[in-house]
Amino acid sequence: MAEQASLESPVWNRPLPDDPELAAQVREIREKHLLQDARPPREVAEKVLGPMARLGRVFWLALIVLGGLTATWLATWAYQAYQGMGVTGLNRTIMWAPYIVNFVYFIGIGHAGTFISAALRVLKFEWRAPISRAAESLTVFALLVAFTMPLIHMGRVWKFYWMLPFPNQRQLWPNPRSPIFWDMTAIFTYLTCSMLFMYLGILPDIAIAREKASGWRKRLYTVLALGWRGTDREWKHLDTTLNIFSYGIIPVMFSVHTVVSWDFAMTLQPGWNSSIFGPYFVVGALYSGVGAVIIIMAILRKALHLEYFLREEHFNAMGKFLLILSFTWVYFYFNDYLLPWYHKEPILTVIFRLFTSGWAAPLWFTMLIANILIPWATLWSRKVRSSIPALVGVALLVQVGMYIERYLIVAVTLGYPELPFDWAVYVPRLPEILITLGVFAFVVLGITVLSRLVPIIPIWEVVEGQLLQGTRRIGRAIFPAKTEAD
Amino acid sequence: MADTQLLGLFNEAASTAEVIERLRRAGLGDEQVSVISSVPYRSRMLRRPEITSRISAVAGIGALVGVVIGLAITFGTYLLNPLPVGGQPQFPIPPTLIVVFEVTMLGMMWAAFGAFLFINRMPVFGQPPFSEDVVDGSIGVLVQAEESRSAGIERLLREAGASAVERFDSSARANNRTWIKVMGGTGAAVTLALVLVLLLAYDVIKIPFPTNMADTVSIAHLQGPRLAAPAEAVPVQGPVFIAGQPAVPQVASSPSSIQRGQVLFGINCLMCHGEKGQGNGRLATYFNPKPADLTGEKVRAFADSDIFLVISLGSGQMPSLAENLSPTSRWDVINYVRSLQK
Repeated sequence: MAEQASLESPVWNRPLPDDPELAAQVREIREKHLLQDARPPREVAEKVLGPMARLGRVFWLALIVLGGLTATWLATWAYQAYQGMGVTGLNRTIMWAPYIVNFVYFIGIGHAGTFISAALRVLKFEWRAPISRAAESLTVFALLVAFTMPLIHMGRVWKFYWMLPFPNQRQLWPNPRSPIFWDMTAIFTYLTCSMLFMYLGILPDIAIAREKASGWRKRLYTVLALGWRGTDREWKHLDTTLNIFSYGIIPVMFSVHTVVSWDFAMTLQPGWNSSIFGPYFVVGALYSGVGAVIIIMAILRKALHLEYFLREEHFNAMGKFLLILSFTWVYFYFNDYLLPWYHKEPILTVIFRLFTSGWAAPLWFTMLIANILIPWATLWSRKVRSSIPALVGVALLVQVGMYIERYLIVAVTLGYPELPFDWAVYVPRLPEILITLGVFAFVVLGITVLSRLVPIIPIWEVVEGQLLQGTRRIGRAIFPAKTEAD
Repeated sequence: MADTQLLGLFNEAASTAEVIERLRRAGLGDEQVSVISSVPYRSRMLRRPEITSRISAVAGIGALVGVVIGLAITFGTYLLNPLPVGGQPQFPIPPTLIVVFEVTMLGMMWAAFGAFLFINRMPVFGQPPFSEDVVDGSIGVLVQAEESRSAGIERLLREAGASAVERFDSSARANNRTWIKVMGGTGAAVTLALVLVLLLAYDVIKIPFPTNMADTVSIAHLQGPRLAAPAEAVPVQGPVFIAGQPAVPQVASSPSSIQRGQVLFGINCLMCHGEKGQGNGRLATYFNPKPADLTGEKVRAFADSDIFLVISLGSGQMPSLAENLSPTSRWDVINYVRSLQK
């Protein structure tokens, strides 16, 4: 067996310069940047795998609370399926409300994971390495929830298969001309491919965990690792496959939320029938999604003691990302607002007046404050972006704002069709509230459990990044430098 | 020929590249050597020949299969289940593009994943050579050679600075036969499950379970009364054609209105409903059932708006008189009919 000392190669044992001034600079760089702060792979793996196996009291408490809420969701769903949709606050005009709001919201959350993981991989943004898997797991659980939302909304959920592309026993054919059918195919593609994408990236890490674990974990990882050893052929095939997935999943991601927006935009409902809805929804999705990733990052960092991996630089970068997305979202929102405002169609004027001075005004202004005012007022400052509590606060507000935005689009706008005698207001009842609470709990529960089962930080990507990074001296200053290996 | 496999462990890339070069000089082919690491070292870093992956080609084929399936789903549905589409094209292109795009991407990515598993024969069964030290950062150089040469190669590995050399006999390899069995079994299980689902979906196997919406306990939002127009609603001009709701604007009953109604009644209604509205006009004999007795209990119970609707839309054999009578005239006729009922 190898001796401890001989295992340490120069990559994770680079000596400091002799000059104390330069050494101080290198030390500062290492403190700031994860990929400059190389440690032996054994130590890196321990930092991920160690806390994973230690299930503290907080974990069990969270499990009980979140599990309870999830059980409440399932029980409420069963009650609603048995009783019928009449137990909800839905009415004849507003037949799409809370579940479809959740659907749009969670599909949106599901966008950030892939974006961070696939798009930043393609663009070779190395700082994404420790974030990508947490983001992907958020994608998977958010999409699972989003996928169940239309089923919950359907009432008679056992008729689900009528949406699948084959004629059923009543010779009812799903109609490919319908946005609902596009939705089915788009979300199915996105959900399954996101899962496969995440699994592929996890394989080498599970193999590491397999060697380190014992007991039932060892058996679990042995099965999940599929016998991964890390031969050069395996790595090459993995790299090719991950590249195919990255390039494939980005257009699918854009298509998914565009298709979701078409569920609305293809109707003649005033306020929905807008040609800008596609990109506007996609940007909104990324906006709320990146915010949600920031929250998950902060929670995981605290719960699993990932201070080594998730540093100021990551929160800072995500904060910038959030701010840029906020600008972009506002640009689309303003577009969507300005044109109807300008041509003053009567029914749209009614809806606008409702937002600016009607009963929906408190919601609308809360949304504007949470989505625009506060992010713009704070995120420009590096201090705010680097302070985790402050950034998480802003990200939480963005979640509130974006949820309200979807609520206003779906549950409020729908109450105002062209014919005034059909105007209605939707008031949620207990089943919707319980189900909504339950699905939020389920997403957190899923990530909580998953983060204890698989390495939530991609060990191999971090080690690879550390291998490819170093420092470069120009004059009296030392800078981080990156190797373009591909 | 009993092959032995030797796994030499090295600490970093430079010495690994060095030993790979030495093995090559010792006359070992590239296919006899492979590298095991927990981090993807590029082939160039280790002086290994560039590996080409066929997965892209398989993914391309998967995408093509996706295109075909997407077209089959969409055009198959348009062809086999023609729907009235109100003048829209029976074979619409834009919606087809959306579905075909999604299924194409699905085909591409699933095929890539399948190819990844197939090429690597994953899940791997058996015990191929591996060392725990690899996950701690060591780079393993795995050499496959005849038994007779193994001692020399082991020496070469150690001389090149291997921190350890592990020896595996010929039984240490992936078990492809088990792999074929397990994958075949999985495929069969999936097919069976699909068949079962189809049998259930087509009611070949029936589960006695009430699924009708009529059996649902609560469908309140479908049963509630129609909502009244909110105060800020745009006022509806002209009569509302809905039973039970007052028509607007209704002409109040007055002697002059009744008089106008009598004249119009004589022109439009009398030949069937009779001079006194008792359903005994001259043409009444030709009808079965007979024209309604406008003074009878049934018509008395009608709301004014109900009569308005009957005049406007017709009822049974009675034609619509909407072209003959303006809305105001219809109210005059109704006022006259009400005077007959007194």
